[in-house]
Amino acid sequence: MNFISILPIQPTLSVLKLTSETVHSFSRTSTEAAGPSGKRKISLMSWKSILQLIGYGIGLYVISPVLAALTDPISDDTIAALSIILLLIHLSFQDYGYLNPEVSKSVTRSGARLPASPTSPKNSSQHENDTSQESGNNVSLRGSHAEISVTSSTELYHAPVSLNAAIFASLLMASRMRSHSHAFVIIAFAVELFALFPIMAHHLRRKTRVGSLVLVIVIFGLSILLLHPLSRVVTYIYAATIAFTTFISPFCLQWIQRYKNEIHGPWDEAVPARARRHGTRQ
Amino acid sequence: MSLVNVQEYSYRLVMADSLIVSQQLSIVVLFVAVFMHTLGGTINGNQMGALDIMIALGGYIVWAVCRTFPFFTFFMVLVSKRHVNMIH
Repeated sequence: MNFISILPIQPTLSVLKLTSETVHSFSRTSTEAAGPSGKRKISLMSWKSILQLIGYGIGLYVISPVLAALTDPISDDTIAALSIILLLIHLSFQDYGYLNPEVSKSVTRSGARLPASPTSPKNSSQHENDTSQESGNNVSLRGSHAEISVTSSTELYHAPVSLNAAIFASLLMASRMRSHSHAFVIIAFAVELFALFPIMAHHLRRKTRVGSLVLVIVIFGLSILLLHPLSRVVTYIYAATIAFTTFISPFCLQWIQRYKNEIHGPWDEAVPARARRHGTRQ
Repeated sequence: MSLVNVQEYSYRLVMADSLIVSQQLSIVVLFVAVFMHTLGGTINGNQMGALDIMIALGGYIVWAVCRTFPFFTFFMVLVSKRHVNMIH
């Protein structure tokens, strides 16, 4: 039987659209907007955002009976396989540049990202000499003739594929719940984890690296604690994956870097002297 | 023409970056684990609702503190100044 013809498209699309709009609005609110005078305007949360969040919660609760019965004719195996694929898509298409703001300190012009030094290499100091003055999401480069306004690409959380995949997976999983209230709390939990958590993690990492590290350790501990009663083997696999990602992968990158050579020659693109002085391309 | 290896990565910095991937992986695993517990009945609806509210409030507080961090720093400097002895 065709999966798409069974799945009620309308409520699914409604939830995805609502989530995307709410997150986009929330992410825009959370960026530090610089006024005309260059002063940072700190706004914690506007009434519009609060009303939007309340409306989102009420809307989700109202359609939760539909969501709870969304995939009744579909087997558990199909849902499990689809959820795994969607969560892998979520991990693959996540906006890691936003989650790790130190990485993408390079200035972009009209939304295009310049090649940044991924992990602040020791010898490449050309980006460090950047004289740009960053103020929130707007970066102004003051040249001798004109002031160029550019925007950092990582100030707004922008991962539509990742977010939609995660919310869709949570919808599929929530539809296996016994009651609609269970479905509602699971979807709300998914929205908190997949949509709002990255915004909080971004701001936390910008302010304090130690806080970010503590957050990762707390989440890791919670995951181990909750996963252990379910399956011991999966817990070991998860711990090994985290150890590999955190400790072994950086070592591999560092080790393999010695075999990478950068070739310079007359074919290199010419860089105007003024642009080089200001640390950006013209 | 020159053939040089210009970049040298710091292990500590690369590890700090890869922590972000681990964090996202942990988030996914945490969600799946909570879902499995809710499905199995270990966590009931009320507990799940309480967890939702706790995470939302905690996240909001952390976010708000991060957003107003300079003001908190200013406040902390004001508070701690009376314990500082100035020697001239």
